[in-house]
Amino acid sequence: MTGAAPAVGIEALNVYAGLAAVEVADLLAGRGLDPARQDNLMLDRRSVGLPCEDPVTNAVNAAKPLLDALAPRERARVELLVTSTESGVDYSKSVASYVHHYLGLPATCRVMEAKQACYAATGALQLAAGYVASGLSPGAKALVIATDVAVVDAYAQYAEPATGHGAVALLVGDEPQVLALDPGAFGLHSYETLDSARPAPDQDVADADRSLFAYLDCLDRSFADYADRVEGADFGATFDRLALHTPFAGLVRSAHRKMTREWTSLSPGDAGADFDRRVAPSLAYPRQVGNLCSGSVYLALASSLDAVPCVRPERVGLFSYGSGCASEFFSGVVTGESARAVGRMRIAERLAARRIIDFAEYTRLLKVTRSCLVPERNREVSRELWEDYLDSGERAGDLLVHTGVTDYHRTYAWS
Amino acid sequence: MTAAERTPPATPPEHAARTEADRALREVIAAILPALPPQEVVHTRHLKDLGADSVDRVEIIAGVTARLGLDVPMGRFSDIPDIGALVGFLADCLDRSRRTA
Repeated sequence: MTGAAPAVGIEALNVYAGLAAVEVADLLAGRGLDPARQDNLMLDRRSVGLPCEDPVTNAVNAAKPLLDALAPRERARVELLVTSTESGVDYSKSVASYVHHYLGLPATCRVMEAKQACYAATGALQLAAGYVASGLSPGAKALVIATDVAVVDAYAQYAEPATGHGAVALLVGDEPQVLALDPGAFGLHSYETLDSARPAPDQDVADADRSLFAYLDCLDRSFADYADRVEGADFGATFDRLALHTPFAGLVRSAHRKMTREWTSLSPGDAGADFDRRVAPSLAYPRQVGNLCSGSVYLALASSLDAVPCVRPERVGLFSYGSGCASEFFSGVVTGESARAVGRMRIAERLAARRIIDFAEYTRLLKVTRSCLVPERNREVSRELWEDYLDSGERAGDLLVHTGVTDYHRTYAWS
Repeated sequence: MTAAERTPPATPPEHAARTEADRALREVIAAILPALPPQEVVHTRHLKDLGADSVDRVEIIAGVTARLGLDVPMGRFSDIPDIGALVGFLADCLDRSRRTA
């Protein structure tokens, strides 16, 4: 499948999922929602943002450990930075412009932001991989960072406990220790629909049936396109693992059930065992974090590699879906080194170190954080109020915090 | 006019399709929502009104189309207002698939 094309893909991957989390059971109880729904949501807890966090700090805090691990000459080869977000901080100025500065990336770097709901990071990854593979700048690297914050309140009902907070950073290059993309092995399916959207900086709208049904149609159709392009592709046999965009794990379980019914001859019992083997490991982190938007599929990939490290080269099938809508099914190869590279980021330890807050504290934080994307000429965020969160937990090093806005210019500091 | 032409079929094809769709839907709903009394599945209600959450609704739509052997995109079910309309749509799909088979 890989032919003679040069190996290109993800060299390093890190997740930053905040410093606080709330138990989904507590959130459902606090909102007066049906606790029985947790079975189908398949969510245990979700990350919660702090007033001193925003899409910029999440992105920087996810990517910094990757860059810190690079030699200066390797850092200098980061020629493309793309932030992928549906949590933009300005109609014109990108999240990437701040991220570029605070990561200390070279001035000789393309800097831009991509938006296509929960798909954009995959589109950016494929364009970055294409640039690296083109040979126009041999040895070039790219940094793709999916970063988002939650702005939903009680009005979102059962979408509120499913919404996450954080970022996933992907270093893309020609030494793809984490995921070597299968060249030319992709399938696409996109069309216009309004299944979910963010029409204002503090308002998400969603039509649950339209969105879930679109996700499932797109998985089916993008895999069909993949199968048209990749000779012999078989949903049941080609992929040792699957990592799917995970708005909530219960949808992924249904999606796998539907795909095995339509694309394989597995019995329902065997389909359950197949889910446990190929899919369930990818859901461990999403069940702890919530939906990380376009980073979600890469959170699932990290989860799969950390939960069941591979001991031999394995093929992973990945699916990315973004409302609106755009989708892609693609694949790559992971190895024992992939698991070691992701393991060095200690994602599980940092998720476990988040402070578990109660519903009262959650709503106290949300009153402030819901408006973190609303444009204001001047705003002060008092870091001191949140010091105890910053001092707790398993930190990977310095953290960037949001300190306010001065004449529309967002300000940050290292903590 | 022959005798055969004068005698209408016992069940018109479109009615048979409706009956088949209705029965399949009720069986799938009973499997996904086992605690639901069958008499609550009435045509003027939406699946949401039966207590089906978003995952249950996915399982019901995917399950009933698979049971009826229909190849219909899930997105076609997004705007269906109630169970009666759902049965009608499934019956139309059945009729179409049989005409083209």
